This record gives sequence, C-alpha cells and structure tokens, in this order.
Amino acid sequence: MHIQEVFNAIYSNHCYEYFIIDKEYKVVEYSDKVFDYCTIKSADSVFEFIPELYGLDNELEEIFDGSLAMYKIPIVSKNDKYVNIYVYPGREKTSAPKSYETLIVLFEDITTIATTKQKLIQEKNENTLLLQEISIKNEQLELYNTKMQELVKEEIKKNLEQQKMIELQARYSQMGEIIGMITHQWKQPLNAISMMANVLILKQQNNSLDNKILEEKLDDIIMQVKYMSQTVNDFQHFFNPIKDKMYFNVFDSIQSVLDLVKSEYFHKNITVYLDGDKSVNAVGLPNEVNQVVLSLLKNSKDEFIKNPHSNMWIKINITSKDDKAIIEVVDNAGGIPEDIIDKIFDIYVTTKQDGSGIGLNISKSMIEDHMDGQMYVTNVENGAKFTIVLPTTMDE
Amino acid sequence: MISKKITLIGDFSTGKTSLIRRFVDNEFSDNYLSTIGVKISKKIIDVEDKKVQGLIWDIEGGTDTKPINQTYLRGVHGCIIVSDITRSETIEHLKNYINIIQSISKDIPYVLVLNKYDKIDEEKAKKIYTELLSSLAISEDRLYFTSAKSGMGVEMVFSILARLMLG
Repeated sequence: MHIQEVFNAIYSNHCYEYFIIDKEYKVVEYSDKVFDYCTIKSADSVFEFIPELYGLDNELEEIFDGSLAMYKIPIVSKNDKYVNIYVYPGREKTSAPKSYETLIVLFEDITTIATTKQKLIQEKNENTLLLQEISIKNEQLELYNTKMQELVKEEIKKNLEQQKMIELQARYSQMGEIIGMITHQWKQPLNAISMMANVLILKQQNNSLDNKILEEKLDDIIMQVKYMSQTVNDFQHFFNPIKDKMYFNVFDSIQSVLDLVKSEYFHKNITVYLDGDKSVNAVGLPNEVNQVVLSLLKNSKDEFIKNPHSNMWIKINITSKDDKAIIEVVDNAGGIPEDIIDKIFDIYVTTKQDGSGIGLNISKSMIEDHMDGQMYVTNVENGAKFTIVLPTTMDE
Repeated sequence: MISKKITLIGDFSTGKTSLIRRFVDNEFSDNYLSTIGVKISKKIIDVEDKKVQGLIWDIEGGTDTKPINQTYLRGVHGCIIVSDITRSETIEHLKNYINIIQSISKDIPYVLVLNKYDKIDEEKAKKIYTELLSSLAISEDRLYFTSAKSGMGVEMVFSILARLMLG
C-alpha cells in the first residue's frame, strides 16, 4: 500500500491554500503559501487582511453555528490572481448544540478559468456595446435621412418657385416687347384717325361738310378702331394661358405671331418669311410655341440691330416628318459663337451685353418639358438655325 | 478609524473601475477591461474632522441577461450607482439599482452618477440631468456628473457618500 505516498503526491499538487480562524476571528493555523493571497498577522482580525469578508459577520456566525454550510466569494487577490474564497466549518465542538470552534478559509486559484471567462465576458460586452452603437448610429442615420428628405423637398420647392419667377420674368419681358410692337402698330391708325378728324373739323368750319363725307370718314375711323381693337385682342389671346395640350395648326399659330410683330420688323428692314406645309398640326400648347417663336424672332432682331446689313431676313419653315411637326427658324444674323453654342440653352448664358440669358432656357423648357418636344440649334451660313420638333399625336 | 464598505454598482462598461482607479490611484486608462468577481481597494476619506477608511468594492457590472451578484452587497454601508451618460439604457436602469439597494435596507445611503460627462455636450447633459431628477423623483444632492477621464466630480461623490454614511 502506498497511501502515504499518494497523500503526499496529492498534497504537493494541491491548488488550495488555507488558514483557520477561531471564534475571535483570529488566525490559529495557515498553509505555507497562503501569503500569496493575503498578508496574515495572527494578531489581526480576519477582516483586516481579508477585507472581502468585511460586513459578513452574520454569514460567518451562521457557519460557526452550523446553519450555513459554506460561503463563497470570488475576488481578485493582492497579486492580481483570480481567487475563490470558501469559508467552511472547521473543528466541531464536542458539546451540544452542534456548532464549530473554528472556520477554514480556503483560497482556490481560478486564474486560468477566470481569465477565459473574463475574455468571454469582455467579448460579449464589447459586442453588446457595438450593437448599441450601431443602433444609435442607425437612429441618427434615419434622423439625418428624414432631415435630408425635408431639405431636398425644400430645395425642390425653392427651385420650382425660382423657375416660376424666371418664367414670369421672361413673360413680362415678352409682354413689354409686344406692347412696344402694339404701340408701333397703333401709330398709323391713330394718325389716320387724327387726320380724318381734322379733315372733318376743317370741312365743318368751311361749311363744306356734307353727310356723304361725314359717313365716309366715320366709316374709315370705325375701320381703324376695329383694326386697333383686333391688335389688342391678339395680344390678349397671345398671353392667355392654356394649361392643357391641344391639337393646333402650326402655320396659323405662327402667322398670328407674325401679324402682331410684322410692322416692327418691317420698319427695321427685316423681312420675315413664313413658308412650308400649311396643313401640319401639332400637339402642344400653341401660346407657348408662339412665345418661343417670338423669342427667337427677337433674338434675331437684336443681332441685326447690333450688326445691320442690307439683306436682313428671318425664314420660318414648317414641315412634318415621322409623326413630328418641325419648325425651323433660320436667320442670316451671323450665328452663335462656336465656344458657347453648346451651352446656349443654359440659364444665364447670353450673347447680348444686356441680355438676361433666360429666354432660350425658358424656350427649351417649354418645348421639351411642357410639350415633350425637342429644341436645338446649329449654325448655318451667315446665321443660326433653331429647330423645334413637336409631337403630332396626343399621349396615351 | 472607522471602516465603511462602499460598493459601486451599475451596468457593465459604465466606468465603475475607472472611477475607483481615479479616486484611489488618480489614474485613468481608456482601455476597457470587464471586471469579474470583486476587487477591493482601500482609501481614507476625510469628512470634516473625521477620517473614514473606505473599503471600495469594484464588482462586475450588470447586463440584460446577468444582473449583479447581490451577495456583494451584504454588509454594504453605502453605494455609488453608476451610469454612462452617453448610453440611455444605463440611465434607464438606475431605478432598478435603487430598488436593489432599498430591498436590502431602506437606510443604505446612495448617490447616482452620470459618468463620462467628458463625452457629451453640456446642453444635452443638462437636459438628461433635469429629466432624470424628475423621473426618479430625487433631489439634486443625489445625482452628480462625473468624468473618470478628467477627474471631474469623482472626489466630491465619494466625499458626499462618506458624509451620508456617517449620518
């Protein structure tokens, strides 16, 4: 039998250190290596060198009197080792009732296991923190998205308002242009009316005014007034907003524009030709098409005023091809400089010193955005050619 | 000299260990190392003309799945309940920790701290503080900002708790 050797082997490999305390909490016995975990002075109370037991008087008393079998507390010891402290009952009293004279305090080094456990807890906690952070970031992201959407909406609203302002500005500019032309067109009939009135006054003063002359002159005056009235009606019609797309005859529509402006261009020695297929119908907003044509005419006129020559003309040609109505406006006013022709439809791009750069941008927007058409420009010999393409059938 | 057991409780990673290190050793590290078990530090706290030996228990923080081990609170004389001001859930859990302490004894003094004050802007912190006073129905002498990183409020909180423990 090797019982003693076995006990020796077990003892030499044991992983517990211990000390024993009496009822006064003073140390009465201890193992050699217990100092690895605490500094024992036998005179001290156990609470002095094991502060982890401080406040546990009740629990220790319960072990002394046998009502508590054991108490365990995991600590980090003075040498930074993870240790379980166990308090067990020691030597039993011989007298009744059953109680104990001493307690055994065991130190179990669990550093290896505890370190692994610590790593697992650390990993779990870090993952939880990461998830919490992701959750917060997600909330922030959602908040930013909402704010961003609001900002985008606001910007779109602002842009639309700005676009409306620009369109209004262009519209007022064209109205001013047309009013100028009406003034021009009214000069002749006003002069005629004035002259006829003077004739009537003179004849009356000479007593030579008879009914026939009076009727003739009054008819003439009425005719002139009708002409003037028609001009105003045309002007009103021109700016009457039509919101829904409709079929319209392209030739007739553009003719109505020319009727309004012919006098102005005639007096500036600019010949405006309208030619092509009179039967072409397009789908769109005729007033907006007319405003675009008027804008192109005005651009040509401005170029002619800048660089006049003896044979100034603007030719408007109307054709159709592949279910599209095509309006070409060509002039011999010198064309557009090649360095800006690609961006001539961009807003605020202009060849004029006092130009706003709005007209062509609005024109393109009217044709392409409002009517699903196309508008582009090329330079031709001595001039520029603007092409407007419009659908000839209504969308589904 | 009278000894008092002080335990810091609160959710994990709220800075309990850092507060103790700042208070006891005047040190701080940004590295987070989860505490397991309990580690006790000692420091003498002056309360007017008295001296108190604080046995300061640093224990493992609570998580949603593992609450704090209440055996560590046996014989406790005072508690500091720690939350991380940047993590709302740790603030929401303060009430639970108050309940735990009061379930042991209604007479255990405690103070609440909103730690990591250095990580939040002042206006936001004030808002949290005001809302918390109202939701927990506590007075201002129970709730403090701390920063283990800068040291702000740390000495004061331990000193206030020591005064409360001495009655």
